[in-house]
Amino acid sequence: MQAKRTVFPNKILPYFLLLPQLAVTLIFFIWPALQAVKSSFEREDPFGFRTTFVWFENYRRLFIDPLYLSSVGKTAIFAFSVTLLSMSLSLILAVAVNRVLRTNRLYTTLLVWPYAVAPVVVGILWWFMFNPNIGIAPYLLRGLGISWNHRVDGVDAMILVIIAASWKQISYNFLFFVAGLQSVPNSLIEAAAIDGAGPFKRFWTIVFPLLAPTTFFLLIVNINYAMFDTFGIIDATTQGGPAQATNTLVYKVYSDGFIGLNIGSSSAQSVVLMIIVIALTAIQFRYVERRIQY
Amino acid sequence: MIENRPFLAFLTHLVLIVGVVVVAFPVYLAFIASTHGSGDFMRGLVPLLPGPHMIENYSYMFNVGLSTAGAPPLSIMLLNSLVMAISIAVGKIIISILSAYAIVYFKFPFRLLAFWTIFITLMLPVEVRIIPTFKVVSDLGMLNSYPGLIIPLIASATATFLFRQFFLTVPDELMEAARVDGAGPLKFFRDILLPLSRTNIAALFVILFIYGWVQYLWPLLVTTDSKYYTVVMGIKRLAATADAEPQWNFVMAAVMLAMLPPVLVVILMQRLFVKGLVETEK
Amino acid sequence: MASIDIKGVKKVYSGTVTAIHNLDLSIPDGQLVVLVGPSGCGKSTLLRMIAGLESITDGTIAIDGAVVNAKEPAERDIAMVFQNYALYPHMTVRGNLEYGLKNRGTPRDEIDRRVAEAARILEIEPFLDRRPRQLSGGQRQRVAMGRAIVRQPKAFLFDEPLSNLDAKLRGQMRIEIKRLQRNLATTSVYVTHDQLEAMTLADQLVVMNGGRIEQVGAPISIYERPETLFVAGFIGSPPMNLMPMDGALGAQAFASLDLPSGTDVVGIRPDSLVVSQPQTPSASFSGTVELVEPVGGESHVHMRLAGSSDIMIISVPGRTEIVEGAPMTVYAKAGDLHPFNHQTGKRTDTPAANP
Repeated sequence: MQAKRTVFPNKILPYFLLLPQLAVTLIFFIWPALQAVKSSFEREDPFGFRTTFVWFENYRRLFIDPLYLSSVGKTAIFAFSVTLLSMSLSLILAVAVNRVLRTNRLYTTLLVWPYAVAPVVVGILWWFMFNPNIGIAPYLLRGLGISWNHRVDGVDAMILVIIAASWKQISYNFLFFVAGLQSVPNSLIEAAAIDGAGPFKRFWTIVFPLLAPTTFFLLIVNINYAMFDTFGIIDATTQGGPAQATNTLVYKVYSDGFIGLNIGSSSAQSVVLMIIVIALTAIQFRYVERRIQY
Repeated sequence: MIENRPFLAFLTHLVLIVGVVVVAFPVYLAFIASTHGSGDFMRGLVPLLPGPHMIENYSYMFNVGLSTAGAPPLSIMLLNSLVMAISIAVGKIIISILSAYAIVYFKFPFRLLAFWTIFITLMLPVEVRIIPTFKVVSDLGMLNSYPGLIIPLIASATATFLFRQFFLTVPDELMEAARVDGAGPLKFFRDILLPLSRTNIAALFVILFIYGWVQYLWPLLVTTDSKYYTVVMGIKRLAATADAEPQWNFVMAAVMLAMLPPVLVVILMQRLFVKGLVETEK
Repeated sequence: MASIDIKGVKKVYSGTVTAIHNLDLSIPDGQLVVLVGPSGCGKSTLLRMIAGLESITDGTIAIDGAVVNAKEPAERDIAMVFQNYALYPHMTVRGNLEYGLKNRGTPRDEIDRRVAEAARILEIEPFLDRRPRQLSGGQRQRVAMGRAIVRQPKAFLFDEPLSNLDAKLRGQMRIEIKRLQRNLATTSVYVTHDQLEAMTLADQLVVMNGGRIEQVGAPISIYERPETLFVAGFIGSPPMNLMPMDGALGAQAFASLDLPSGTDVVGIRPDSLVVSQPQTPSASFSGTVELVEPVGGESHVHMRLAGSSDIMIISVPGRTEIVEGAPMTVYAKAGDLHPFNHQTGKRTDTPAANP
């Protein structure tokens, strides 16, 4: 790994510099993670007196549990929809902002602030808009002859959390797309214009392909976001319901473990999630290495 | 742009204005709701224009709060959030800049191991280790305390990587010149590296402040004493009761107050915010 | 002020790559010694070992008689000027000059006196309160020199200090460095890959190649009598023509001359070649003019030798009547020939090499 050409000769000092970070990491990250792995192989008796080592029993039960498998499916639908919706809206807005000159900063300011809104608050805002009794969205939908009630209708609930989660992520995707668009060399666009390509053709044949690294990066980040950072949104809007319709994997770990106190199963679910994060991080970092060579 | 097509320019602005409106609309509704009296939420539709009760709603929430929801006044929760967000940001910056300094400017046994240990934190978000982490904090007697809210969250791989990346771009000769000039490692860090990192520190602070402010799951786990509630988790408690007993005006006043500090930070420090966001993700 | 003595110094990277082989060099007090060579020859490594920025694998380096191998750079009492100047960007020019003195606990009035003096010598007084990024390349270079001067060290170490400047400024700063070094009479080691810079600056020139010293001497004596093929090819611009003796061409050109035994390559400086046949014994070469490069005060003629693919460069004064495509014959006096053996890489007319 890279270091400076010349380094300081001290041998003890670097350990002291690293100590706080490593202490926090070991105590609050690595040790608990190992505990989760350990208890994913154990089962507690109902009174919590004894734990027995049960090998992969927790995992086996997990993968034949229809509720868990349904949660996997719900998470996939949720992550895919949020990623697609949020990224496409952001790309449109980023392309538009990239075209305006003077008002560029103003629009950017007006579009990026939702980044700072906590997921729970996002959940509350959209929950309010879609409130079946007084919300504006059900009111308008009734006008169109559609009845909305995310408290009883699983599809409605899923749509609600997708919209809320996408709304929050637009600002993030927008900023990265703008940065990506600005790094497309102007000379390429001018060359394409001289070659007779109109603005839309230029976008699809020149700009969009050159944005591929940004798009791929955002794809991974958005999947990661939808899976792990939307806990607050779900907790504030549907709490996994109705009838498990929006119970994503992360929410299920929490509700099974912390509310339901089923430690073995919750730990096994945690380990599965860890493997997913590790895979996503590995993909992301492999890509970063590639971008450096790009 | 190359062509001068009025229609395209019109379309561009239309797209942006629609975007801005869509993004702002939920917050607009929340704001409107926070200016009405409780009675205005009985009818079939939320009010769409401002009402006359803004000042009293906000001051009520700020000073008194909804005791029925078991939440303290907003002033306490906002203060807790402020303490938590600032401490997390400062803590992350300090321990990360020190780690990055060790990793870049020294060679020592287990350097690679240290790097990977820090890297691993990226792969262990709190959501996947909820129960065992809660247990550790509980065993250490850190439940219902500021240290319990803060310390478990201050390890940061991204901040360490950002500083490492930045240190690698600092010319090697600067450190060599400082050594020839008689500066040891701590002096070089204080006199040269720290001043050079100012912009990065500021940008990182903006991002990490927001990160700390919007934490929800962690405060939810480690605080049961309302003295330590942060505003983001407190609001959830308010909202949970709002449905049964429609006090939307108060809930939304709290929502507005909870959003304001981090949103202001983003808007006022937009340049630093963008820099921090884009660079921590490298 | 001090002498620098390098004895049997070796540098091995990560146990396998040898950058410096058993090198010995004595740098006398007050002299400006220039280390020159192609990139990767070890000249910068050697300088950085003197500075204490690289560890020494084997051998000793002594400054002013004391071995400094284990000393930190700051304890060696040297000052260094870096290629990219390495000015502290967040400090003013004054801050940059003062930093090393402050770290040493120099009294305030002494710091002020030295900074003022250095600023006066280098004519950077108007910039003392500016930041480095507000200065031009040449001004930054002066500040970097100033930072070295204020320290009043035993030795100055220069690591390609002029290569970031444009050609005109480089020439100007070269003269200033030389003048400054003369006035201060501080022992100086100067690294460069630019052989013109090396020739003009050096009291002693050290030509390095592949981690070894090829030749040490006054610049002009090295130019006049390169001891190795490498030095012959490296010093001088345009470079010396190195003509292999094997084959019909060599035999014919050098037939009448009595070259030392073992000679198989003959070097001829472009400015030793003349178009009119000299009275003394000489070698002659014929060919076709392929290219004429007028460079102002002289012209460089590229001649393709008849019956060969070799090109010979001839330096002729002023503008020339020679036209491209014309046949041409040139002559070199026997005394202007540099005989070499390509196996040993050494001269064949040195007594030791030709017993």
